[in-house]
Amino acid sequence: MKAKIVLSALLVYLVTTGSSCIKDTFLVTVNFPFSGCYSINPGNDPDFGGFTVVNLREQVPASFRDDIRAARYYDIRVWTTGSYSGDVTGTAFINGVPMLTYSGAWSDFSTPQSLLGSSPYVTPQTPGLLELARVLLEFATANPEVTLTLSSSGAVSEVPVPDGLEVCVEVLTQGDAEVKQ
Amino acid sequence: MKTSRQCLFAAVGLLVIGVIVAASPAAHCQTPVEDAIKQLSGPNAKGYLQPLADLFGANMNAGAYHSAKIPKVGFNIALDLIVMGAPIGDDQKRYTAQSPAGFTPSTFQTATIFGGTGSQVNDLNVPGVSYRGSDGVFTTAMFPLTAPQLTIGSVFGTQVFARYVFIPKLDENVPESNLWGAGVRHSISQYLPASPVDLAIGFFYNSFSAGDIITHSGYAISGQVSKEFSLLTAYGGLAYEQSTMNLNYVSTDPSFPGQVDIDLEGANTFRVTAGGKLQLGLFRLFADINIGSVTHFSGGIGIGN
Repeated sequence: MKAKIVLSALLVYLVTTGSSCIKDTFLVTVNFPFSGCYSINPGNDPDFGGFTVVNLREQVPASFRDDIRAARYYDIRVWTTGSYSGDVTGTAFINGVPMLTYSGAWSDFSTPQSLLGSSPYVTPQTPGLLELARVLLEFATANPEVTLTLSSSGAVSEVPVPDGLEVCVEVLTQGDAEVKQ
Repeated sequence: MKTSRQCLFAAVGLLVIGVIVAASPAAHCQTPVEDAIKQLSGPNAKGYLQPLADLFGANMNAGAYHSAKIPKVGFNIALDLIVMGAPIGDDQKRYTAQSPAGFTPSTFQTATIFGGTGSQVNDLNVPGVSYRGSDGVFTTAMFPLTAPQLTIGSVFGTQVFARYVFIPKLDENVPESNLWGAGVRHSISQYLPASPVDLAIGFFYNSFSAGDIITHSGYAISGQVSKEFSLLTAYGGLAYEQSTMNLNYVSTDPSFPGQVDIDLEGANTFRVTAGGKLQLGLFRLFADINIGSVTHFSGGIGIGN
């Protein structure tokens, strides 16, 4: 009988002791990039522009949509689609505040030009970056339904403009999703 | 508060599944944990999860035998509950993560799945730009695994054994998971009547899957030796082993997008085992230490002849 009690106690011990346990709360970083692409009308007008209204919450993976506790951006990228032999110059905005300017040959943007890595074709603009940081803070701490407006405007160097040209702007953002047991 | 249910899940070695029953309702196919892994690019997934592959692989191959004595003929059956545990070292709590392309610095140290708080790093060239690694998930000094094992023999000095654990899909947050293993052991000492010790060889294959993106498999080939001293049996052995954890998913990291299909090879390839078994009638207790790249322990309780 005593042996059975000892063995039963040992069984319980083996199953429970040393067991790993999961943290009560931990943060998972989740990506929720957003972007907009702006067409350049074919013809003789070199100017272009457009905007995209972004609901940040909808960019977050569904599993973590209600659990974002902090948010940040870690890159902004600009690229072009379509074939064109001229140059492009423009500005990307957040809520109408300049965030980044870009300028170079159209083909320079056939691969995304990044805010990071000292690209000679893009120049960060502090007011827009501060506005971006402000909106992300508001999203994570005060208003998860906040929206922002991403826009860009600019011009190409030569007309006539061929069909099928676009300028795209992407903001790479990351949030800390709180996972609770 | 850590509930026994949560700990049991962990003990069954179900990676990060199930135990992370996030509060948010989910109307999607994959669990929050799977979604979390998909946030990682291939290189960072490897760094974040490699310690899990090392410890899980070592645990999966542990505890398969507790004696080299195998009757030549006759019916014998035993059921064991085996607990395996691998201590988590400091070097398994941090890894070198890759920053996004163009970021300065290009790498930074942050938490693995066994680590603490994830690190945040600021770009040195562009003010306001920062990047962060996920926190660790486990808070424990030892990573355990528990499995029942059924052993049946003997025919020509040969036994077979099997392990099986099935966790059904409990809800949208807990994926279906399977752990199974099967092996065979054969007595060598039956051919060496003069041998002062019992000798055997064995092969063990095991497999684990959780949800849609994680699978694990491994095997061990071992030579076993034991010696009985009344109620006590001293046993040990050498084993060559391999284990692989496969991750297969589409990364949602914009810096490293695309299909991720990586194999995380377990660190353990060779082990030395030394242990003891105490036989109390039909009951038995056993424990051993396994020394290799991953040093770990197994022990348990069983019933059978």
